[in-house]
Amino acid sequence: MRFRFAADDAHIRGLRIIPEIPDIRLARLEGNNGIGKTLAARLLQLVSCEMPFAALPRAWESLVELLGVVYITIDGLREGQVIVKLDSALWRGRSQADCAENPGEATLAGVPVEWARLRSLIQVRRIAGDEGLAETLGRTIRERALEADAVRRRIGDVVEIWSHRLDALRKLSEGCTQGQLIDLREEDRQAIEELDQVQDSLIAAESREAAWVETSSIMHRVREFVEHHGGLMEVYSKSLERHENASEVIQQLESDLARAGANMALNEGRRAEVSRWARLLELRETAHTRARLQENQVLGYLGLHERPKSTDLRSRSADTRQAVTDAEAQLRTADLAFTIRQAAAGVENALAGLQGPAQQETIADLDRPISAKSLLTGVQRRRRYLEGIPRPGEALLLSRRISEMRDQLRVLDLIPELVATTDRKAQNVVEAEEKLSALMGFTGAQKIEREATQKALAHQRGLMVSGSAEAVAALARLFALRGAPAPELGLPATTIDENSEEQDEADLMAAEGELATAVQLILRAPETVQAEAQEWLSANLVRLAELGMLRPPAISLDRLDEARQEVMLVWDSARSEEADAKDALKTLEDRLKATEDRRAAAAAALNNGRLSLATAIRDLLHNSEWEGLRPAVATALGAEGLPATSLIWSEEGWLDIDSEGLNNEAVETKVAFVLEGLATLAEQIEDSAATIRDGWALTTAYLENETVRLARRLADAESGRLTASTMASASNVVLRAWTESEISYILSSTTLRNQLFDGADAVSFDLEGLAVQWKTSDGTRRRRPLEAFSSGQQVFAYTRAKLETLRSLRASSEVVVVFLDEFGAFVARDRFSELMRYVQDDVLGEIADQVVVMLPTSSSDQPRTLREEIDGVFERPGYVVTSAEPRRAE
Amino acid sequence: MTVGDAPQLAALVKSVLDAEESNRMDGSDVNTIVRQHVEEAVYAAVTPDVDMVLASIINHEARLP
Repeated sequence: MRFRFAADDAHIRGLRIIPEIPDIRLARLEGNNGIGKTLAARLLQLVSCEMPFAALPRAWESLVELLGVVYITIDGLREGQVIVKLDSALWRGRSQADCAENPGEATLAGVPVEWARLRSLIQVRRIAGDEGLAETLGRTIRERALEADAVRRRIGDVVEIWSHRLDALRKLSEGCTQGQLIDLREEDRQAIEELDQVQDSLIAAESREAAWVETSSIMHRVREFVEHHGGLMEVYSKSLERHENASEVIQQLESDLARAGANMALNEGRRAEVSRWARLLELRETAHTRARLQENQVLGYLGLHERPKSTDLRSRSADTRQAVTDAEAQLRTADLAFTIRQAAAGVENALAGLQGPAQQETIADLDRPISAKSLLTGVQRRRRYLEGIPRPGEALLLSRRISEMRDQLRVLDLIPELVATTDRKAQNVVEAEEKLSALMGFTGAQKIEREATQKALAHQRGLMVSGSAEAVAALARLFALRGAPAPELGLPATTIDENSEEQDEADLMAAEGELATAVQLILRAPETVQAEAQEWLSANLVRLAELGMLRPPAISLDRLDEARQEVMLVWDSARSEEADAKDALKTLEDRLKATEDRRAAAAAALNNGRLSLATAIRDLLHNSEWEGLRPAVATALGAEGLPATSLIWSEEGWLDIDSEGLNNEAVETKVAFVLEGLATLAEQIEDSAATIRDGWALTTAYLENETVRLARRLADAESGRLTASTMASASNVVLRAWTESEISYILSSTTLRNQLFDGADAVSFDLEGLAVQWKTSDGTRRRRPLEAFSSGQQVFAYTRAKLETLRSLRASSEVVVVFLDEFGAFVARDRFSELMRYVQDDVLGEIADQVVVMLPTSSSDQPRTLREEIDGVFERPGYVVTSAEPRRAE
Repeated sequence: MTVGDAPQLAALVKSVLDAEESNRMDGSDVNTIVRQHVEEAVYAAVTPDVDMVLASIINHEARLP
């Protein structure tokens, strides 16, 4: 090979390089120090991807600064001329390893060539004669470290590229794993189950609450009954007695007055007139009594003992009217339950008819999407709640209350007219009395007597009316105690005309008879009232027993006082239980809401999981991004019995799977399995690739560390960038054994065994102790540390050993060129010709194609025999540089 | 540089990985089929696309790990 160097500017900056190395198989390069022999060899090492400045960081920095542009021309390769352009400006800021990997630009036969290609054509190495055994071994190990690092880099690039792709696949596939799918389904199932349980509990709680409400309500009425019935019955009986006594006295007094009038001697004309007015008086008195009865009944019905003021009347009317309005609104809500139940039944039937995926379809969008199935569940739950509404007795009581209030309003409206009528009829009676008295022509005494009788009569009538009114009021309260409407005074519709002269005796009798009957219809016998009360009480106790929420109290109508304490206790218990039942119901209603929310969340999460599965499988099977992987995905799906070609998902589920004997859930599970498998596979591939890369990194780091331990001078400026932190003891054992084996192999070369190790059969190396071990021919075991090998003879042996290590280069490169540098000491030690013989016999053609020996300029002090010996080694003198100006030797 | 240029080192690294694997304390299991495919791929002179590696493993196994 012929190497030419052109670095026109370098010498300006104080850096020199020889211009040429001739194409001589064994060349001698002789010249003064500083003319650039070594630099030429090192630049060629750089071209060969070897960093000659690994142990010389400062020299490297200086080179980067001073070299500039250098052209190296290599002639002699079969493939053509190589021209390399190095530019040290482009090395600034880059690592040594990176610069060695890619030092500049190169062409082969005028065409740009990859560095890898060029390095497969030519490799250049430099061996320095001033290196000791430790450095020789260290350099060997370092060669291996660099090789391992190059592979590590290459695999690292692959891992990085793969990682992006595998990460995308993993993200796509990990949307919903099998485990997550199972968890989501379980969560959804549990939520539905819990919802059903809560709904059942709610229905039971509603039923219990309703039973306690009714029980409590009955007990409330029973308690009121026990508390007040006895007293009211007493009032009723006494007022009834007063009414009846007054009636008897009135009959007697009216009879007296009639008799007194009949005894008067009157002419025919006047008698007729008297008769007419007497009849009118009776009619008017009857009418007045009737009016007073009506007025008192109405006042008693309203709980009034006297006529109300007009302002009080208006205020009470307004309050009652508002209460009616409120109660009617409440009743309307209860009444709507039926209508809602009817509508819900229709919706429920339609929803229950939906099949399969249609149940999961969103049918309503409120604050969140509601599926058909959720809506069906909700409607069913509401229907169950509405069943039995209005609850027994509740609406009935409300209706009764409204009816009562309406009656009160009607009566309140009647009061002014009733009062006016009563007063007018009283005035009519007075006028008739005065007229009759004038017609009769009574004497003074008769007149006084008659007026006294009439006064007594008026008093008794007042007693009768008040007694009657009190009895009616007491009766109304007795009825109210039982929750029954108060009886009304059913006065006859056909009334008499108290001013009609056409009315005869029969009419009068009939009118009075009707009035008496009407009063009697209300003012029934106390025994009758008691019997009605007993019937009511019995019915309520029976109902309490039917409800079964508590044991009904024992109550006898004759001994209500004795029952009072027990009734109070039972009522207190009922109220407490009712409150508890309402609390329990409220708690369950709250829980129902929370459970519905949980169910909605679970359903949404499950749907999202399903959607991610569908999206992933759709992308893998149909997105061009994954086209390369599609057949493999189809194979994986096929292994699970899934037809990749027809695996299409819609919001209603997986389509066209029935024919495969699959259902949606089975497909979903298998899809999740396949995707999870892909994600796992992606992870394993990335993990495996990274593990392999890390194995190379581990090996590189170990070898670099051991390089430094063997020869600190070889410490790479970048050493330590690869740490062996993950290095396990198991790896250490392997790496150490291998390294020891490598070094032992080098030390076991014939040359070294004969020259350094007493001709031992085998030599081993202890890496930990940095010592060589061998057994001599007489069987003696020897062990010697590395630093003990430093004599001239030993150095010669190392050089041979180093050359031996280059033997493998020829397998990877067409041409190997070796520079032997720093061998001045060999010349001095008279071992040069021996070295050259070795080079000629064993190196040329075996290890290297060309060897360039670099020597210092010949000295006149050298013995003539030595000069002749050196000259005799080389076929031609070679290229000798004796001064700064190069010259051809021949 | 490919692993073909350093067969001795490749054997060494394989031994290192085997030693590491036999020494794993986390109980995890290395899928040897995956590792073999990956080794072949990353050591090849021209590294294949990872989709091809995935496909070759799936086709080799006819099922997923």
